Amino acid sequence: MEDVKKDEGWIDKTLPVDWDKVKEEAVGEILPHHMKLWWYCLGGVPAIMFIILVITGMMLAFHYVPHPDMAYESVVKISTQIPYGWWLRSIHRWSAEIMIVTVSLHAIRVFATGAYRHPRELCWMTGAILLLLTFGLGFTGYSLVYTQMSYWAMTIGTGIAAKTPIIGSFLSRFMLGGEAIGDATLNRFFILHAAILPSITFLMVFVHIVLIRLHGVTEHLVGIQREVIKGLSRGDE
Amino acid sequence: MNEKDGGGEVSRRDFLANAAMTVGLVATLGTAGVYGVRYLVPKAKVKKFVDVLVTNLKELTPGVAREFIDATGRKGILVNNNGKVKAFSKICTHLGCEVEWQQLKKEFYCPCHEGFFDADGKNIKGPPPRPLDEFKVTVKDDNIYVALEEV
Repeated sequence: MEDVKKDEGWIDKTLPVDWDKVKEEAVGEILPHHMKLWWYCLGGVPAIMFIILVITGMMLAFHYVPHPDMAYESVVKISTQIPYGWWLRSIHRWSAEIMIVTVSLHAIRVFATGAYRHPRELCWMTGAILLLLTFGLGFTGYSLVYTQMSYWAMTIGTGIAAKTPIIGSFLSRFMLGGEAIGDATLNRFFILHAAILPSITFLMVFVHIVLIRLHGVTEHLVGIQREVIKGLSRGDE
Repeated sequence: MNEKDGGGEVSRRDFLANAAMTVGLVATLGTAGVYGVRYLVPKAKVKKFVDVLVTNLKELTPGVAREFIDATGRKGILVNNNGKVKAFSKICTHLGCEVEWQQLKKEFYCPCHEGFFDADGKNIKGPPPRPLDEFKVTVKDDNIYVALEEV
């Protein structure tokens, strides 16, 4: 853009934001060459999946009933009777699968390339928490459908939690809302899945991304060498 | 910033790229938006029932029961309990097994978990939590009509 000062309209006056600067911050960051390789971009995929999951999840919550007698019926109703319910549920389910797979691959990539090194320890730690949160969201979501599989997944999941040293029985009772799976359990899993875990995940994603932008991505030789061979290097390495 | 493009600021390449991106995004998000609205505001389906001729009083003598299947494949049972003709769903309200009419005891019996319903479909013994689902029955000129859901 030329240096011509644009006329300040109503929007510019009421919302005094320098949009060019915002755009520069958002998409203008200069990245090292290795970022062109797809396995360095696996962190962004789960972030986008998370947004899709939040939107479709909110939509699904409009018709889902977290009660043992109604849960499975309402899921069937969403899939078979509500217009495009099958579509939203499929997107929610597949986004969840993709999120879990890509988050795991992302963690493996960061570990394998040593990108967790100083000074990026906090990035790695928030990432580790996000990995656990993703698994937690997957587990609680799977249980909400309330099929036989969900029931036994709940039984096994809470059983594993019960074997934690010292706090095991507390954890198990916290998840079950009693000694066995019942009315309270489904409610708890719903609250965890639809409110508590997504909120924490959102905060963690925010911190994770801010830290990445503060540090910049790790420089690697791997990608650069490859690009040099291809003759596509920036030429200043 | 190609001056040859009629002095505009946007190059042909950028214009085409942006146009493709915009069209793609509008199509995708537009479809998703329409689907979303239709999902959130589903049209209320009004259930329509039609009277279907199932049998007549000559065949369904007192104490006799007769099965029928509606257009969606769900099984029902017609019972003549001393002149009082009633129609119920065969599906047990406990876990969905099929109930049988026991002519001597004048009861419906679910063999899966020993559930019993009386001739009016009321759950009287065992695990069933509520009465059997009932269909509306009309008897006209000895013909028996059951109101079944239209599909």
